Amino acid sequence: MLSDDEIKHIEKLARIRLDGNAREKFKGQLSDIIEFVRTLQKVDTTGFESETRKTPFKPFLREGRDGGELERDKVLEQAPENKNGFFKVPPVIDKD
Amino acid sequence: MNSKNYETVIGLEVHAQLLTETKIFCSCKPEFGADPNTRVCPVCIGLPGALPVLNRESVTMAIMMGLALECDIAAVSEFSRKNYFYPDCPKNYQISMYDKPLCKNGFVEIETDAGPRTIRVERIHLEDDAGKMSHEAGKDSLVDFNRCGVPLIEIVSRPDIRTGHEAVKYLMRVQQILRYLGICDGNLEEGSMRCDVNISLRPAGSTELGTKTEIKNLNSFKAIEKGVEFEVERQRGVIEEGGRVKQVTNLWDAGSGRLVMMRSKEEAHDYRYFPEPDLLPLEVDEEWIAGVRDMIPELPLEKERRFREEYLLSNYDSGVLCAEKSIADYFEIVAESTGLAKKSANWVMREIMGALKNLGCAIKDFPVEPEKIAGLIVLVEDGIISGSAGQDVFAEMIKSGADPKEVVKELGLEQISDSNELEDMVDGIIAAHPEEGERYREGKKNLLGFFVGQVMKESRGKANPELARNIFIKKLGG
Repeated sequence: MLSDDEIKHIEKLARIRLDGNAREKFKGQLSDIIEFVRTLQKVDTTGFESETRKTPFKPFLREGRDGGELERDKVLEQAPENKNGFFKVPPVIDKD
Repeated sequence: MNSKNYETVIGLEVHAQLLTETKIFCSCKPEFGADPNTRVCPVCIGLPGALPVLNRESVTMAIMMGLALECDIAAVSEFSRKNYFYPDCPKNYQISMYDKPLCKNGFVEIETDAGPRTIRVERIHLEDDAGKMSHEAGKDSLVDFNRCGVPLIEIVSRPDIRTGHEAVKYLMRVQQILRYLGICDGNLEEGSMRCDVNISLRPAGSTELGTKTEIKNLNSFKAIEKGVEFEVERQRGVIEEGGRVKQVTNLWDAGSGRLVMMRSKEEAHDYRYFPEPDLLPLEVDEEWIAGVRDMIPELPLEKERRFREEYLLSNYDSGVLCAEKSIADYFEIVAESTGLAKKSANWVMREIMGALKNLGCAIKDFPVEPEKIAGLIVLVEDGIISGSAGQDVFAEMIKSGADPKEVVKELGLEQISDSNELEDMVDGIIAAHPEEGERYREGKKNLLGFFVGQVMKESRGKANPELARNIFIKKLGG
């Protein structure tokens, strides 16, 4: 079972805030998912190469350029605030 | 560092923007300094439903760097999502590579004050760049998404570096190779090449790694060297006082020349990497790799070696000339035209590079073609003009771009190498300075310089000083 602290950490990472009831509900559901994966991990996979995705398709690569830039007004419309052609966000000091 | 008790362990992460025609996952054209938010599309600003399509050119360039650093190129590599929330990242994740990078296990050879060293490279992977933020103190932050989706390669070294000096040498070499390959302009100030430094200390002789701290925002070689020294001293202080180094990220503040702590371990990021579901694994076959191999030009170390062997230049000269490929190319044309390698090297290193510094321009914008410099060197070597006249001609050539022979004619600088004409001049000077002549004959031989100076003055610098000197010795006797 996930702890309350772990759930709070996940909330923080996902930028969501859960109230008490929802937190209990998700704690149960997330714990079930983790338990399910834990069960899968018990399967002996010795001799199999790890493959995240197996498809018969080759990746498609783009060559050259065909434009596609949007008009700036349309771009800036996507967010609540802008200034001098920039998006405007609350002051940020801590940087990743 | 030079402590008896501790060894410094440094690993570097270099981010290099690739000079592709389009962004990595969309068709937008990157342009440094473009008006904000004018080089963006639904893909690079992560609008719902938009799908990334990988740009072939970015992969080719990443493979090129991988081969240049002797890496293994993975037949299959994979993009992963690195999840984080920050205003410079409109998708809320970066598309990077995690457990299956494109290039692995390479190395970089560097020359340090203590001799040559090999720094291992753990991996090189492809990823998309984030947008650019500007912060106004106390006010809102502004975001420009033009840089979102510009292709980056991240070059991760092993923790093989021991000093700030070595870190700088490593970065200079990486920058030089990126530029030789023409895949990144390597501009630290503009951020087309960026560097994060990981530093830890450990007891000398230990093989375990201590707790590391990270420095970001290092935008010049000087900042890197200073930032490393600063952080090493800080960590040493903590350890010597019996404390423990905390895992933190520091920001270099160029203004104050200090490190500012940004983030401590408690907030260490949890990126939740997972395979990028919108992109299939990247497959690179032997044919592609072979094609890229053919595109790689002669690299700096090979060029330096050839300059030593072919032109018999010193290590130092070869290193200076090969620092930039365009300078090396310029030198080669001069050397081939004159047939005088060492003289040509001296001219390029002193006069040409000095002039470039004064003019603040790159060699590609230098007004004098290498063939003309070769012509000038030959005029000096053949004694047609004096060495000092050569400097005047050079100055004039920079101004007008004219042919050296024309400049010599125009300025009337042709050296007087006619013995009869010089003998007349010498006779006149000896007659005008009987006292000096007497003292010379009594043994004051360094007066010869005075006499040669007189003839240079009288000829307005045009007399061949060697010839004049010999005539004086003959005529003054003693």
